Amino acid sequence: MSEEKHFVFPGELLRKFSKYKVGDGVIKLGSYPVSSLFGILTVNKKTISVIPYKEIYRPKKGDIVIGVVVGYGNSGWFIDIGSYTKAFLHVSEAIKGKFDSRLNDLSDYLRIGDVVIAKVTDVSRLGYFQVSIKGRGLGKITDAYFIKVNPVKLRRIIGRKGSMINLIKEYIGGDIILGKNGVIAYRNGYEAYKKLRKIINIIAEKTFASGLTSYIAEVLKGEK
Amino acid sequence: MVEKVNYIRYDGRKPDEMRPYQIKTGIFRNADGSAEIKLGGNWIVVAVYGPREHFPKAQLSQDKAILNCRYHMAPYSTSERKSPKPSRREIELSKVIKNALERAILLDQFPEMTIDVYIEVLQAEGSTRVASITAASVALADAGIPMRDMVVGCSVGKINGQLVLDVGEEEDKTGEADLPIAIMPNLKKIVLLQMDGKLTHKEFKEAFELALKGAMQLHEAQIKALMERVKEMEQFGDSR
Amino acid sequence: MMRGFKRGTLIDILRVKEVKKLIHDNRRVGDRDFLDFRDITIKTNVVKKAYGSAYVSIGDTIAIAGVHFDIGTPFADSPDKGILISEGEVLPTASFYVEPGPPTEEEIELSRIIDRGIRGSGMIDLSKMVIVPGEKVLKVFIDFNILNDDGNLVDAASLAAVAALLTSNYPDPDKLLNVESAEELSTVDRIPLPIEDIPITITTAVIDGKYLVDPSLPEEVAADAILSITHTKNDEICAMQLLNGELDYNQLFDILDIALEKSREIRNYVLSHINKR
Repeated sequence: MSEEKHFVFPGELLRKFSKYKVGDGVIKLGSYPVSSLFGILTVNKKTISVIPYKEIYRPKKGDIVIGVVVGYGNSGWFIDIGSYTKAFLHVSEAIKGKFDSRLNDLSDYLRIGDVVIAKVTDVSRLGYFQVSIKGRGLGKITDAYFIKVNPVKLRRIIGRKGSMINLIKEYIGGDIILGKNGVIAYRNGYEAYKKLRKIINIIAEKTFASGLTSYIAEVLKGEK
Repeated sequence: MVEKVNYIRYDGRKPDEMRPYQIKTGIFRNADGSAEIKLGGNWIVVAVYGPREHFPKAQLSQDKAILNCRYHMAPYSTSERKSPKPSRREIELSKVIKNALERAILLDQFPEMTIDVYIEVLQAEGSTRVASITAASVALADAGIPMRDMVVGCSVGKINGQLVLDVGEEEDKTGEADLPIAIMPNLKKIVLLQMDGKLTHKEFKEAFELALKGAMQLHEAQIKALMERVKEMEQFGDSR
Repeated sequence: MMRGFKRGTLIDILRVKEVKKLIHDNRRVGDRDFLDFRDITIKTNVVKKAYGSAYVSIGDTIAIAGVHFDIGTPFADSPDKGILISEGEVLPTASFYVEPGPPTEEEIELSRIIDRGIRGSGMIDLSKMVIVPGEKVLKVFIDFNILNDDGNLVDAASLAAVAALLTSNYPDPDKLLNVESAEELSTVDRIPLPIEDIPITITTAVIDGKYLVDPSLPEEVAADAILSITHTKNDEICAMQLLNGELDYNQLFDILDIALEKSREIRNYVLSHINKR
């Protein structure tokens, strides 16, 4: 990230951008756009938005998220994805065929404590949103390590055009899955996980540093 | 115009001088947002949790988040031990601070959720409510909770007929008036306003202008606190 | 606002809609003038057992206040002053939403505003409440209750407390050297309670930029801001509280002017309508 970062604060008037469309983190008060968050002002085509310094993850349709089963509902499971609102996984979005409660319990398929990789299917419901584990790469995950970061850090972990994540994959290997809610699942050995954890912690702590990718490259090389 | 008499206050300050102050943010690992303010001998910390699920479910609001605010003084925060049970004063201050923060937070972005703001006064030395609300606003920004504006507060008192900025504990006890205010500085709106004692209309107007001055100084400290976190996250070499 | 809106009954919601609709046409419910109070009735000496009392209604809002005395020891930092305690509650009779229980934050706030107005104005000279300096003083209790809530509890409670004090008697401190209990106290000869000031609270709501004095309950719910200001008889501000909402700086000063003007009017009204003891 070599551009000058322009930090804005809640209430800050973005007078120069009154003709722009208002994106995430920006609200319209009267005719002027105002930042509602502490973060970095970003202009994309004709939209201004603020990349928050700390993000409250809001699920969007199509997002891949990683969460833990925390409860059984009438016809599905409640999944905690570490966000302010919970996900609901309807049984029809989890198993093939019909679910007959006379023959089976929900816990026969997924139990409290199971970790799943799911896709967000609907966000219109108040209080919780809907997910599905039908699809490639989705479902229960049992053989992975997990790292949780604030979702806003994912941008840095991926890097411009994937530069950071590719660098990491090159040196550490293994299977890295990034959930939009800030949960990272990693399949590989424990030593490799420790390295990954260290790298992720540095990125999460030094999010605004310039030359982060080169620094991480050096750390990775140093490890070798 | 505040009387530029050579009026010296109990701690040597000029009438329009604030006590030394400092605001820090990101001080608690677990809270979603946190901040600390030191203003004179005041030491106040704030933790924000949320938005999160609300209990009991019966009280939730389907069109916006509920803001919970607790202003609480530690038993060791004052010169005489204060019972940890919430006093009537703490309950009133919790209410006025909550009402003020509610004006700024975009509650309708989180229906059915709750946002909890916990203010703990660890050491009190006069004007705790305005210091608390100033720190709370920073904690909310630290938590990434969207707001229309920051909220910042300051107090003005009257001692021996002289209007003074940032009332200290001694002045609070012996003074003739105490005016705490909190504003949304960009929107220029008052969100907390109380007065006790006696002021003429003319004195009130002067006092109000003086309080605005102090509030804007603290607002700069709020910005500085948040940018300091950014600085920590820009520099390599040290680990927290 | 807590009151009236978490589980608003149909009538409450309709009343609020009515207020908002009329405001657009620059009108008020009942064609009340924006700066007018509803009808005020003040009856004093309504509770014979108390040293002083008043029953006040502003429109349909009803408040009662009672004054009592007791013997106490002064605070260490003011050995030459009596003690003033004022507290109030909104009774469950007052509305659909009030349940019996510990004081709510609004009740506590209400009590403290009334207290600040009386204390800040110096209405009761506490140095006249001393029996033996440093050892024995009189405690003045002003308790109030809201019996029916149709908005503007602050002004109703404040008027009730002030009217009760204005018409109170109290036991002559010079005769209390050997009196130890409240019971004995009640048998001592009484003289009129000396009054130094008459604090008057005026509450104003802002709806769509318009100022409404003495807001009714639906007006309070519809308000963008509600500000209570108490003035002394010498036009000084002795208490102020932003009860809800947010104010522009100029709105604050507009309301200050209105409150001063109305406080003089209401003070005159009180003085001409209480039956002097």
